[in-house]
Amino acid sequence: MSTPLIWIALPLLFALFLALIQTKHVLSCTLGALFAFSLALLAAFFSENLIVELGPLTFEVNTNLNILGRVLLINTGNLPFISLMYFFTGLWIIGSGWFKLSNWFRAISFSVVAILIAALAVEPFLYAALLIELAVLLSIPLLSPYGEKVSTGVLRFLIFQTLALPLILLSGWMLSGIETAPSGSPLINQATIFLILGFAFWLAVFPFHTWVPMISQTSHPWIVSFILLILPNTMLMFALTFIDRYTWLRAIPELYDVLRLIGTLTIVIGGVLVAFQRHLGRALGYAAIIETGFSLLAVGLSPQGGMNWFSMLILPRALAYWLWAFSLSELKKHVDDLSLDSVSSAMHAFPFLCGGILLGQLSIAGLPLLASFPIKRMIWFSAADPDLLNALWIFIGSMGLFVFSLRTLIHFSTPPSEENQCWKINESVSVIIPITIAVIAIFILGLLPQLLLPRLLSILNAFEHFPYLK
Amino acid sequence: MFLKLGNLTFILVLFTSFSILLLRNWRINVITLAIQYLGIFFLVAINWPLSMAVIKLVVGWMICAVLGITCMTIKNLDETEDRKLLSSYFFRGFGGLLIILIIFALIPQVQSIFPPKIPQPIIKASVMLIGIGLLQLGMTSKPFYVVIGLLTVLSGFEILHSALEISSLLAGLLAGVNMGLALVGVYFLSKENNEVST
Repeated sequence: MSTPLIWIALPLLFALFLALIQTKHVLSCTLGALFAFSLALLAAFFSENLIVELGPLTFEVNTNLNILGRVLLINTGNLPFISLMYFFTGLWIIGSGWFKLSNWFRAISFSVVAILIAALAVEPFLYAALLIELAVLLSIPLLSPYGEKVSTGVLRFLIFQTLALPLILLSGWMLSGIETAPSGSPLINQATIFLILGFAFWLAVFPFHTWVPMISQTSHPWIVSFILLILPNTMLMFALTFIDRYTWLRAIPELYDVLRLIGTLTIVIGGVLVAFQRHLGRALGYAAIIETGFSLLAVGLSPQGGMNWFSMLILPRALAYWLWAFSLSELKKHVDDLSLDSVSSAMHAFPFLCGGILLGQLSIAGLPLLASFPIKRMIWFSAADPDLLNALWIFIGSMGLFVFSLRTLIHFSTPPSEENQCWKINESVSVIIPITIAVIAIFILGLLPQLLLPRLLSILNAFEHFPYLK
Repeated sequence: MFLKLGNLTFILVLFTSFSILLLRNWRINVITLAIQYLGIFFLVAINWPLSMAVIKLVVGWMICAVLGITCMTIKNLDETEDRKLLSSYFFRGFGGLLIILIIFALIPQVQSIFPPKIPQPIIKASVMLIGIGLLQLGMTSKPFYVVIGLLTVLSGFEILHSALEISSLLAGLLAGVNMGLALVGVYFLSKENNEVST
């Protein structure tokens, strides 16, 4: 028994099983969610010395699995992030029971997560780029289901994610040469440029962000939110692995300044563009871009403790995406499209759905009392410490989502026609309950962040050499 | 032997990639892509053992077979507006020539990034395929041609990478990625076919 077998091979096998029972909607949903939560719990509470005791039986779990001369390695430091990934998979699989999605969603989402975990576990870790590409290719049928036109957004998603692959692999080859090269070697600059460009493609950093709002407009919000949560977070963890592994990369004095600059630029561009959107789905895409910006900014603020904020941002982000995407997907069943004009007066008919969408948006925006606020507040303050102007730009970017939320509220609450002005609750109890639970969870995280968020710091155990970790 | 054929293979790859960019006929494109994979095999075999280099050829031809068989089942795949326009040929041809000129001018700088032991035909063919593949990606929104563009870019990279590193796992994973891309192309094509028939 080994950890890669439990958290990579078993889920892949289970994905195969889910594919076989894909037409049995309720069964695959229930089993999928149960298995995902079991994997998450197992990862969260797995013994630190990797010894499992079952009554009189005691056996040790290996951390390695050899495949074709290469190794998959999952040690206890990786388990907190793996736990979160499977927890999110479980949440999204449960939610998929409410919507008419591709029957393949559950099987493919499991495979994508297992492959992404394999990407983080593979040694030499540069092979991860190929595994990430395989995960991207697997997610295409989800984003562009059978029977729908192939959208430009999906094509751009495929192009940009694939173009990152050669850049990362080439930078990997250069990195191996740099370790023996003198400090002034031009190879360092070339590798850094390839690396930054590769990750810019992967993380949809400006100007490679165009596919994000496109797919979030055309594809189902539930699937888009899952992909936009799982892919960027894994890629960011992979990026941190680079910084953790290579001393010369950590030693570049401008590294954190550049990350801060890229993060701020992403937040500002995402924020300014979201303020002018007229489509709730596109806004979700821009919110994901802003969140990537915040993660990059947090890493850039490592000397000020930014890595802590980076790890603690993941859960509030996931909850907000879940609430926003769930409410949006439900609303999509009742309206022609998700443009602001089409959802005018929706609050009078669907107050819970509209409330869920607004709370999801405002939580990501960092409204006080909501889940992201305690962390965003720390990031704002930390960003102002080295550079006040930087903080001003971040403030402008953050305001974009507030402005969009305000516009959404105005459209939602526009008075309906004169004969139909009374408020009605048209949502079923089965929809109201999950929305209420998510709203309560967001408020609890916002009001009592000390309860759960510090536990997320254990994600950083995966990085042994990363500087500034306290 | 493969090194001696290097320049000839470069010309072959240049010709195939340019004709894929220029022509909008799936039959010609699939056949040309198959010939291009033959050229890629010759270039990769300069640095890799023959048994490993042949993976590129086998996978490439499998991709062409998969794409070709799928295209056969689709009616009117090439019936697009731009195919009929002479100006679109001129535009793509001119763009392609421009890229070729730029790449020829840039090759000494690109060569300086990589170890001098890498033969020049490999660098030239690699950069050419990447350049023309990128141009193809920028000029079309048809899924079939997008996938061919991506395969061309990846082929260019694979030629270069073969001169830098020999790894059977990497070769296997890259073969998997190439096949995956082809399958995504087939998926897109069958979706389009479904739309046309409904």
